[in-house]
Amino acid sequence: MADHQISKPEGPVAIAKAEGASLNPLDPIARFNRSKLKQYTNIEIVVASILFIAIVILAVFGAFLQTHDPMQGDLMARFAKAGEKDYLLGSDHLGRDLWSRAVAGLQWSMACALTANIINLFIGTTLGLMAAEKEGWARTIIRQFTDTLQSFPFLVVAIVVVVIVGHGFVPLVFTLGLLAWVVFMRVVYAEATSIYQRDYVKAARIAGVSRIAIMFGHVLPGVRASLFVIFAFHFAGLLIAESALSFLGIGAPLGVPTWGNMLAESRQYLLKAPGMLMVPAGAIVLAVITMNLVGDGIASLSRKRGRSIDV
Amino acid sequence: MSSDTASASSAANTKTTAQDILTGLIPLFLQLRKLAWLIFAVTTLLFFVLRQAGDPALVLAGNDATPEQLAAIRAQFGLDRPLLIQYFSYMWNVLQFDFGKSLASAEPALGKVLDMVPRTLHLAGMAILLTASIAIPLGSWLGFKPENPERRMVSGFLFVMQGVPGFVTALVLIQIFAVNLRLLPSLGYEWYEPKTWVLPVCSLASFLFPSLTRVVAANVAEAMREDYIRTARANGASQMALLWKHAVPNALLGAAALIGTQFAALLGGSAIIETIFSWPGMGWLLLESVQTLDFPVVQALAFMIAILVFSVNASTDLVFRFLDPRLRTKGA
Amino acid sequence: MTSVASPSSVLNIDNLALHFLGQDSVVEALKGISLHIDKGEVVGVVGESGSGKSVTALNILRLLPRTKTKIPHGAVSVLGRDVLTMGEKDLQHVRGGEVSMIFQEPMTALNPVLRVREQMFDVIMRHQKITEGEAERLSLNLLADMKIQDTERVFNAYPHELSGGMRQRVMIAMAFSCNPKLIVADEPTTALDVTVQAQILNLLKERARATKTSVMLITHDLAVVAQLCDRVYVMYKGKIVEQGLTRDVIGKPQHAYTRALLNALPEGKKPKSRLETVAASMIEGADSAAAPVVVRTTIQAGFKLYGQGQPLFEAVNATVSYPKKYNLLGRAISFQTAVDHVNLSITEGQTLAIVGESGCGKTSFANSIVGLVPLAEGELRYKGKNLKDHDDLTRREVQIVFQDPQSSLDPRWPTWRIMTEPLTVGKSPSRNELRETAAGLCEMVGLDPSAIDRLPHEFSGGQRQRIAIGRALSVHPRLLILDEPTSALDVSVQAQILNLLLDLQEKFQLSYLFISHNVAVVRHISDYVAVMYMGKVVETGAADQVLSRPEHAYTRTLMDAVPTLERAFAA
Repeated sequence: MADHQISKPEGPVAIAKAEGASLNPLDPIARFNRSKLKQYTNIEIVVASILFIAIVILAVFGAFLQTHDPMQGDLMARFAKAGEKDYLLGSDHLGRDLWSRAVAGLQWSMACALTANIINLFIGTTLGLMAAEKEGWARTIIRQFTDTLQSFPFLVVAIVVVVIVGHGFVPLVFTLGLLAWVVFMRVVYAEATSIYQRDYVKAARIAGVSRIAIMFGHVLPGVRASLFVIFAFHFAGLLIAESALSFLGIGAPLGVPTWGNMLAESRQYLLKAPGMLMVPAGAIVLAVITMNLVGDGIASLSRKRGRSIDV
Repeated sequence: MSSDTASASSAANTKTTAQDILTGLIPLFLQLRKLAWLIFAVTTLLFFVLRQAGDPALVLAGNDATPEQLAAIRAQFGLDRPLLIQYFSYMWNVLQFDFGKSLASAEPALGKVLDMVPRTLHLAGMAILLTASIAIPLGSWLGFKPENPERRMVSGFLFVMQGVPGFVTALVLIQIFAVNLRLLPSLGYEWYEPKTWVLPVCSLASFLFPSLTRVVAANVAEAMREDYIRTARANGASQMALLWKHAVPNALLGAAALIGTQFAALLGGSAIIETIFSWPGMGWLLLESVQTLDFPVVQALAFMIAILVFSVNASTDLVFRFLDPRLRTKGA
Repeated sequence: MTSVASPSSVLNIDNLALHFLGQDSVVEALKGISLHIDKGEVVGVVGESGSGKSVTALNILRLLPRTKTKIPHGAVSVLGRDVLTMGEKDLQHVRGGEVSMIFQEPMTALNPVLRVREQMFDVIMRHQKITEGEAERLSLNLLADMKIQDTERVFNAYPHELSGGMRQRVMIAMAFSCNPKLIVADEPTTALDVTVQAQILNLLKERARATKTSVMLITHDLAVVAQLCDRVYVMYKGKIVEQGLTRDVIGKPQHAYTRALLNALPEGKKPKSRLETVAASMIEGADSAAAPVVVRTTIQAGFKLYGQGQPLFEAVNATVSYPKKYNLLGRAISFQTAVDHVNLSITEGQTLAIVGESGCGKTSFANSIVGLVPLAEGELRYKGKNLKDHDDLTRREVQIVFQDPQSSLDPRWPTWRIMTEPLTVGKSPSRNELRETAAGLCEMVGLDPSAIDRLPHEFSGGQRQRIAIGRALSVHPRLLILDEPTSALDVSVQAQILNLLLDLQEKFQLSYLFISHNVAVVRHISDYVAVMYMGKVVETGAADQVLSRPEHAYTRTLMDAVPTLERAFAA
């Protein structure tokens, strides 16, 4: 029987056992390893969550956490160092508490960025979906328009518009909201066009399912994960844009403390009070990093789940 | 019945003929048409919209001008004619590249803008150069084997850097190098003095290089997963050869796109850095003229920026065509 | 010919086990396999997905990611030297020099930014110390050996300028370039058209014989093995279950799996008979391959016969064209005719198959029937009337099942929602009604009703196709268009799906338009066959007639190119 050899025929049960036999189902460590918790957390998400929650608390309860009136300055206490008297982070050239001003700035900037972000989300997603659905004049016009808008550096357009529209919360939100949605549109367009090519959308079309039903049932759920990610990252971008404009003096009105304003004020006193620079700078950096971490966290979350959902 | 050899012989010739060049120029014509339309739209829009920000006559005459003085100014600058007439006369001038005179300094508006262009190009060019020379090697190294610990630390560092806006870095750098250490000047621009370039260029680059690095790393990592890497490895290629000969050239395609975008964004988007360092460029001029309601200059700037951005995009396109052979034979 | 490993064997694998280390699980890809290849042999390794055949091949040159694999025991030696303990430098020497590989996807296996000449030089100069001029001559000779006509042009071309078959020839040329002792070919022709496949395989065998190079051919296609290989190993779930001379293994299979595999092939079986399938628990877990027994009557009642003498469906002069070139204004000036004045008809209860290679227009034709692309000329008639003139309800009697089970189901939707989506058009049935219906449909297609709440990723490819079929059946179609429904499935799963389709046809008198490039499947399942080439129907008639006694030249070429089991015994 040398030439034509066969292995011992194994029954189906033996084969099935050999299949999944590597992990003992009763082993507790193995069970933890398989548990959802491990599946969904990593160091990034933990750090991001902590920072994010801190920011939210400050944003919502800021008024209670300030130690001084952010607008009121004590000329006797100018340029206090951090920790001196009860100035947590020191005071500025007019004796105003830096910590309280930073918190006030957080509230203002967050509100502004959040509102603009939501507007961006709506505009960008709607345009992206409309352009993705099929070839036609809607797609051409929307794409031309988006390209045109993107032809100019964002800051340039923002500067021009803001000067026309004026300073203040509403004009700023208006400007950012109407100009910064391009990233949402691009992402939604790219993903939605790919979804519209899939066979299950073709099958739905053939079956006569309405366009709206397809859009809300198949396409939107498909882009949802990316939307969350972009929303987080874009938040950071808007924060930066707002502080840039405030820094230049054309964003927040002069009286309102925002991080951008504070940075602008700090320029003259770099030698005397580096704290005036560091506090707003640190605040901006921390806020932006937090939002980036949150975005990254959501992205890796959906990647993990995505591996089992979108093969 | 071999469809195999049949399609092979009908595949395009790799040498370019006159016809290929002509077909290659068609997209350029389409782009120019888009540009013309863009400039038209923007100048028209600006013309009508800028008027909302304030009355140019008031700006010229000053806030305490008498009505007679205002009327005189209006007559002098033709601001008393019907709006539409003003518009057509203005557009006619634009076609001859005449944007009028700057309201602030009476120089030709376009001339004032053109003075700024080389300085901004200088700043942007140096920043991009610095960014690319850090990002490409670093990104390639990162993307090659993304999992090991050293690379994770570098990734983390990049992540933090990406959160620091350019103007924040600028101020911090000024604090350290100009104020505390007194090594470098904190403002001024002399094209022959490299010392004045260092801080502005570094500030810009610090904000740009993290994202470029990450994009290069992502592209390299993706290229490494492609089938042709497996083929090359199966043929005995060494790790270095795989990275530099096979993966990176493919990865550069995506990176080139981002570089182009970043460069275009700097043309005018560097306004803040220019302001901080008193670097007289287009962005700085924009801020100045917008705040003083110097409309002719603003319009000339918009025109210039549109053209420059278009040129950058067109060049990026050309670079793409050069780098990616797949785009060459297809024409459009 | 001895089949016992000897020190002079070119390749010797001894009791090799290999594990993949996942995030929190370990997959035993190979469970202790032993095989060997001697000089000049062409050996086949056959198996379905998950059998471990590709893993075995990739491991010979250590191409698997080191951090994710573990080798608990076993040895792999090439020409007497142990590959598992070799250093990187030695491995690079072996790769391409002594053992070379040919991969499955010619479209992506070559670097798109380098010309063919650079990629060939890359290989040649690494292993041989010759000048560039000599290397160029060598390359051009190799390309000529591959039966390439215009060698200069191909040599200087970029990969995207060449067709799939041409790229594969280049890959094979590169594989032979340094006179390796062994060439490992991993499904080298699976992604190619049938006619091209035949050429490439014959080429490979002929060159191997001429240079006395051994070949290890990995494939899922027993017919290919039958035609080309001297010996064959049959793999199943990481083990080698049978081995021997090809004619012994295929002619007198001993192991249950080999026998089941051969029984599951439609080739050589009585047309329209039910194929024997590999025992259910051997493949897909709780997927019952038994014929549907109890199906809820409410669903059955929806299938109404047409019952007239005329054909159910007719295509008259159907033409589909796509714009090719645009002028400066954006208007299309020249067109590509994908479907060229096609005339076909389908009778109720019967199956018409369309056979053709890629680009022949069969998919465009199918798309035009369901309305995804418009007809440029001609008419599609259903039940005597133009399809467009029917009301929506009647038009839904024509449904389609797509090829790719991955992309034909929304990954976020549970099965019951997927299957009943067509029923939500115009009406809003309650959730419970839909779930009831879905459960009935599951039974109809051979799935356990508990499947209705599961997501697509929890199912195998064959089960997903069943869901897609269930979705098509939910509106009680009379005509089902099946666009390569089993091409992405393993042989054993294919057999199950074919059985299911035949059962459904018998029970409900369904008509099928079955599109495929697999001639054996077509022969098994269809009553009539139409052969398409370049948009035209070149031959049509009864299945047996067209496939066994073809008249048109193209049909004859096609039939000649198809590898069959019988040819093993003709050799």
